[in-house]
Amino acid sequence: MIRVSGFSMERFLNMASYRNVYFWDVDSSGTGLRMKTSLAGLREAEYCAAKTGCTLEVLARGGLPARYRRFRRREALWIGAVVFAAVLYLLSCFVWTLEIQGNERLEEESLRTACARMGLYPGAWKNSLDMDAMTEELLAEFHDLSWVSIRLDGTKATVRLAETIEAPEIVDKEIPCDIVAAKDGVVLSISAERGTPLVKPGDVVTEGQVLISSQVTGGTEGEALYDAQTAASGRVTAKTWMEWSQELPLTYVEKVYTGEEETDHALLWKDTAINLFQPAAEENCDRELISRKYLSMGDAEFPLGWQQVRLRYYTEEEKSRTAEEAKAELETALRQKAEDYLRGEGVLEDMKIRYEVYADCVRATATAEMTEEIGQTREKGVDAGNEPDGENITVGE
Amino acid sequence: MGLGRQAAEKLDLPREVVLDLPLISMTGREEMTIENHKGLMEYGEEKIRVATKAGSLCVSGEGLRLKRLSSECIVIGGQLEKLEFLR
Repeated sequence: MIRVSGFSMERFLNMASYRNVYFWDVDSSGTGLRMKTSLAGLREAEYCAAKTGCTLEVLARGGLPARYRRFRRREALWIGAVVFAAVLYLLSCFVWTLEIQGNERLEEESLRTACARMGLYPGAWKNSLDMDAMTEELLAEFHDLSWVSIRLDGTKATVRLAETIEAPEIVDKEIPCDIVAAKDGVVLSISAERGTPLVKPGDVVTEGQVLISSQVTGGTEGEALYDAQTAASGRVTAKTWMEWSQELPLTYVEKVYTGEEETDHALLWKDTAINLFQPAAEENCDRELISRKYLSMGDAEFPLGWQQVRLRYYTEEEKSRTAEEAKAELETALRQKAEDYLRGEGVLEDMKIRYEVYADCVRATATAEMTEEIGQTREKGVDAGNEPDGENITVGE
Repeated sequence: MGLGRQAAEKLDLPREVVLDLPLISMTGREEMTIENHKGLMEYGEEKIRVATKAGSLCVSGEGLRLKRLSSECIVIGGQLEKLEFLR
């Protein structure tokens, strides 16, 4: 930055610009002009100032050449810069993170172990990796993979893969199977896709009884009939009964929140929480995790973190309920039990509940009447299906 | 009409090149670039005069300053108010 003062500053500017001196940030400062120019321009400007009778003074020096002159003698700074560059280069020679994308069925852990065995793991030397060979090996090891690509972006290795389409479950129609009852009940309807139905609606069946037999009889009219074995299939719905019982004490302990809350901060190292400030009391409180954050830089996550836990204090109070309240609660619980048992696959037709009231508790026994599917496939014993293969036929296809 | 001007018109050539006229571009009223100038005639915070082939160009305003100055182009910053060609 220079300052030029004198009577003919315009002449100075014209002369300098004619000599290809480049000025910028020209400001008028009191009597003269303040401006910036290059080092080479300064020499020309000094000549022009002398020629036009202006006085020129250098106010400050900046930019790379001036800075270089200032730091020239500081060896430690230069050594530090070189060491920094070397360390940066060295650290970028390792794989720092390994990401696996696209796996749905395959477990990430097994893929990681396989990659680690081939030399691809966080901390591996980048130059020693042979991507093509690893791709081949991964494809050979996991038969569920149809495509694998391994990419290195800086220090991050990304394994992208596509899984094969899952093979549908093959129902082997050659292996003779029966449909048997999974539990006792009264048959409501039966529809056999393959096999011979042995029961009809209204029949009482017991657990394990064959409902649709694998034995089929074939042959056209006029010819001798022959027996064959098939894999029976079909649906059998039946009315079934189940019994559940449950007890509920008349006195119980209930948590009453005092409204007092406290936030507990803790330092995290990997999965261990290190409590820095102990809360007032640890007892009689519910812990609820508010946040858990690990330090991270870009994609890399450090094992150091911070977590916040909310403590909600409560007092335990002993309460009692009447027999009527207990009965209502038991009914809800038993109905829920029945629904959980059916899992939406059957219908709860009716439920009869018997209560027994004791001095300190109520006992409920529920009998549920349900409509559900009771057919269950059971493979026939080896001796049952020893006919020659050629005679096996499949009915209903 | 001069020969150069006719040629520039007929051949659709850039006039600032053929006739050496100044090319002035403005950004709002805060910056102004003058190319093809012939030198600075006057410099002050309220008034800057620039010599051009089309006459002397007088720019007046407030807080005017030269942002850049080279033999080809002048960039004037500040609050521009008036632009005038003097004969």
